[in-house]
Amino acid sequence: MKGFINLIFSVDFVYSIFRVMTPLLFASMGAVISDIAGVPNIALEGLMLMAAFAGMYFSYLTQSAAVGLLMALLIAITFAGVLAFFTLYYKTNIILGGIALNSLASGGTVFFLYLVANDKGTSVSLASKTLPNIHIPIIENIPILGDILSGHNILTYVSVLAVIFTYYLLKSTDLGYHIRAVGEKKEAAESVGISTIKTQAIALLLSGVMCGFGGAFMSMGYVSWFSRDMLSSRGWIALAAEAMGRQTAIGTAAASLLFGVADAVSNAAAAQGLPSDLVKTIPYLATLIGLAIFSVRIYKKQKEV
Amino acid sequence: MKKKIALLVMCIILGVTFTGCSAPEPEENAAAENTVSNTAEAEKFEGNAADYKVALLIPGSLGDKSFFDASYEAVGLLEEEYGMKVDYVECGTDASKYYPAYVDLCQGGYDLILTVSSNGDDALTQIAEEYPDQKFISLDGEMDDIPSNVYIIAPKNNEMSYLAGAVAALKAQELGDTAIGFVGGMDIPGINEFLVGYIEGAQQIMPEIKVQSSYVGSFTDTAKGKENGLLLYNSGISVVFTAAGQSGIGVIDAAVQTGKYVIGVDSDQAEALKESQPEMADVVITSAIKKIPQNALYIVQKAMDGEVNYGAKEYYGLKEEAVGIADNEFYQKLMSDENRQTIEELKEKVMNGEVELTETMGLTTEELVEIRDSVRP
Repeated sequence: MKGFINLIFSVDFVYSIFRVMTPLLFASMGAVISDIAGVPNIALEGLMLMAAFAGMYFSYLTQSAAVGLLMALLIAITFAGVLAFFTLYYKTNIILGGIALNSLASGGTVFFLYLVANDKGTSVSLASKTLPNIHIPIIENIPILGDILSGHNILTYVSVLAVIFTYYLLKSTDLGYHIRAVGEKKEAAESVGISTIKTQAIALLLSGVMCGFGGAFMSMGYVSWFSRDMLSSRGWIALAAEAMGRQTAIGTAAASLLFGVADAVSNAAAAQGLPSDLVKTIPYLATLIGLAIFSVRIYKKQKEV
Repeated sequence: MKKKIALLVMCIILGVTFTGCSAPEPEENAAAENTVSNTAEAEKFEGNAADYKVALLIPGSLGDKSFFDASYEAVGLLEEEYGMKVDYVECGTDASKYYPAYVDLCQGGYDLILTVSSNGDDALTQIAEEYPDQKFISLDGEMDDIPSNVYIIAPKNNEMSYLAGAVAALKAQELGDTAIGFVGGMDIPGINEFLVGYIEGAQQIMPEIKVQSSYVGSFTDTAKGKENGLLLYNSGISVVFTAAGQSGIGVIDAAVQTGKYVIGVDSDQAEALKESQPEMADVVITSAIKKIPQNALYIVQKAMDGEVNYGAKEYYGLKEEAVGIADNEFYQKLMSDENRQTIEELKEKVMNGEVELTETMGLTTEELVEIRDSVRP
């Protein structure tokens, strides 16, 4: 137990929280934007998987991590566009479309992996590139804090920027207002001349951008290869974080942090022989308790009125 | 109309993703059935080995650089050795696909159907009852109630892990460590067999050694495997044994990143990685390997001679050369001559019974927890 406490308060552990949290942050921001616009994108997992594959493959082909990242973004945006096209233009149910994309990603990436690497599990036989780690000057030299904040993968910093971006987008830009209006009441937004199709399409494409970053981080930052179903439900956990954060950028980021901490703690617990399955339930328990308190407060407020 | 097009396209997208198990078409002519009329008891195969029809059902996905890839090597080896055509079916992780795949194979008139892993045990039990004349051999299984037409090779995972443990302890001793690590895929009996053997092997070298064990909770989450590896390495451990399938690649990556060492499992992982990821191969001291292809060769020969003891499970260990550790350039580079000599001596001792290993098959959870906790740092 003493070893466990020491581990939890070690620099390596706190550092690892950021690493674990990065894909969750990206995906949950994608979830926030699309959900607020009234087009809940449940294909986050699949989009990230495709992006992860594209990032790995194109960085291998060109031996340039930048091109890999670009292609990861492009692929994720393209397929988010496909989803938008069917949902908004042909009025397909977006949940069904999302399921289709997830299945397509899961099977399709293995198919292409086999084509390019002759392997159905991992792409370790292809020497792909990774995105660099960034050492922040000055902060880097501060003891402890420097070790925790500096030296992360570039996309980890981008994920923090993504939260700030989402926050400002929804709070103080015209596009953000439109997105919220469309999601709140489509007809009302239309009556004042907002194009709902255009706004929702932009929201879905933005969630595609987020997934592109998240996927690229998995195969070009977290680890240096693509492996089948490597997202391992991180896209779904992001959806849960978004629900728990009640569709606000900051709330969702906090929820992602909670999930990230719980995940890191469960890893540490597993290494210490504590029942890790129990620790993994912490964020879900916290969600339940949090939501219960929240609903009770709303209920009381309504009663007073 | 537009909706219909949309629906159609979505259906196509969905359809593409449904990858199924496809087995070879059943033979129309009854020739195969005539040549060998299978009866419940083993029977000698009269004829050319090249005409012996064998199929392999893989209840998992290839590409793990580990267990299932090792079983796939059996296909090539059998074809090379006997000139026979071996059909294989890769079923993926969806357990509901195993039974229909078995049905297809049983309709295909094979003399022998091979399989691996306990993933498909339920389907195998069912199919063996429905096709009592069909012979099945599992190249690596644990099943307990064995139908009369099924034969199980049970490799002694603890024996190869014992050597892996000794290797880890010797390396740790050389580096001045007092603890070694273990990363398992899941906290399940099949994986804990490796852990128990590993602990005993390490204690043989250093009786007071500590073994820190961790479980990924998945055989495919390579990122989580890396997290588990990093935690162990960052806590000061230098050698980790991974029995986590594909997740183990993450542990190897963690070893590269921290400049530490790892012991692989099932396949010779250094050999599999040395072409494409030389820096990863460089940290793999050795791998605890099951010689599944060699076992397949041996057992198929026996099946053709009609000497297989169907309805039973038999254990294959170091003595039968069914398991072992990989002796390659990396092993020779990373382990000193003296240490390798020690390992050879230990191997001899296990083979002639001088060393008694804890029986890991059927070990209860309480016993396991006791062993595991007694060596925790």
